[in-house]
Amino acid sequence: MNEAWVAIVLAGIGTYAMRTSFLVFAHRLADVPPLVQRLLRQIPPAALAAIVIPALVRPHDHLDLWQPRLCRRSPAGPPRPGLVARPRQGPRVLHLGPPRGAGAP
Amino acid sequence: MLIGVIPFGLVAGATPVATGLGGDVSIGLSTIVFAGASQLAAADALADGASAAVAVIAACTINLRLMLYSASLAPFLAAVPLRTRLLMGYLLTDQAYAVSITRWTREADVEATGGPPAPGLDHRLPYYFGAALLLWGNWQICTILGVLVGSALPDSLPLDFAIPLVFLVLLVPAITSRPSAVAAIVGGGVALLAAEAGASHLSVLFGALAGIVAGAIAETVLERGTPYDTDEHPPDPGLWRGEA
Repeated sequence: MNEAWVAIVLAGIGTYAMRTSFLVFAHRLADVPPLVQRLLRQIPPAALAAIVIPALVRPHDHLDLWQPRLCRRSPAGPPRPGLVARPRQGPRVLHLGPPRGAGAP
Repeated sequence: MLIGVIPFGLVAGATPVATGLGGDVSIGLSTIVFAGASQLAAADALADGASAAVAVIAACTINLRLMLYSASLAPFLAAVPLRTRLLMGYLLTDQAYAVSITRWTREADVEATGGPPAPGLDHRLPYYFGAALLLWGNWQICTILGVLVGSALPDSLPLDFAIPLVFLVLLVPAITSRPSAVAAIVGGGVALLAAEAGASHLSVLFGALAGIVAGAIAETVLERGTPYDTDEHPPDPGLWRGEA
C-alpha cells in the first residue's frame, strides 16, 4: 500500500512538472524566435494526428484498416453502396477498398 | 468529448480495485496524476508487483507528450499570472489542449489575415478553464463510479472509438496549410508505425515529434519558393552540397 502511494505521489509530481514545464516560462515566450515558432506551429496537427491515426486504424492493438463502424450511418439503416460491412470471421486481412462495385477488377 | 472519456474514467476507477490495490489508489491516481493512460499503466505495474520506481517511470514516459502541449499553449499565455498558469498546468489534458489550441490558433489566424482581432485573455482563460474543469469533474465522478462498480465492470466497454473520433474532429481544422498536412501525415504515420513496432503509449510522442520536425522542414522548403522565382530568392549553392 505504501509502495502504491509513493508511486502515486512521485508520478503526480513528475506529470505536473511536465505539464507546467513550458507554462512556467510562458512570460518569456511572447516573442520566440521564428524557428521556434515554426516548430510550435506543427504541434497541433502532428500531435492530434499521432493520437487519432493509431486509435482509428488499430483500435484493438492490431492493424485493422477495415472499419465498418466508421461507415455505418445508423445501427438500423442500410449501408451505403460499396461500403458493405462484412462479418468479422476467418483470418484477419486488410480491406483497403470497397469489397465490390466501382474499381473492383 | 466528455461522453467519450466516461468509459475510460470508469476503467481508471475500476482497474486498481479489480487488481486488489483498492479504491483509494484509484482516487489518488485520478486526483494527483490525473492522466488516464498513465494511471492505468501505473496501476498495472503496481498490481504486477513492480516497484514504485517502475510504476513512476511508466506513468511519466506516457505523459511526456504533455510537455509538447505545454510548449504549444505557452506563447498564448505570456501575459497570464504565474499562479494561474500553474493551475492551468494541473488541468492540462489531451482534451483541454486540443480544444483550446484549435480555437486560439483559429482566432489568431483570422486576425493575421485581416479579420477581427483575436479575443484577449478574458476570453481565452474562461474557455480553457471551462473545458478543463468540466473534464476534471467528469473524470473524478467517473473514477468514483468505477471504484463503486469495481470488477463488475464489463469488459466490452466501448473504450476505443469515442475518443479518437473527437480528436479527428479537431485534427481537421488544425490542417490549414501544406506544411501542417505534412506534419499530420508524418505524425500519424510514424505513430502508427511505432505502435505496430510495439511502442505502445509512447507511439503518440514519437509520432508527434516526427510530425513536428517534418512539418517544420516542409515549411522551410516551401518558403524557399519554386525553382522558377530564382530572381528574388537565389538558391543557396551550399545547401545541396552540404547534404551529400
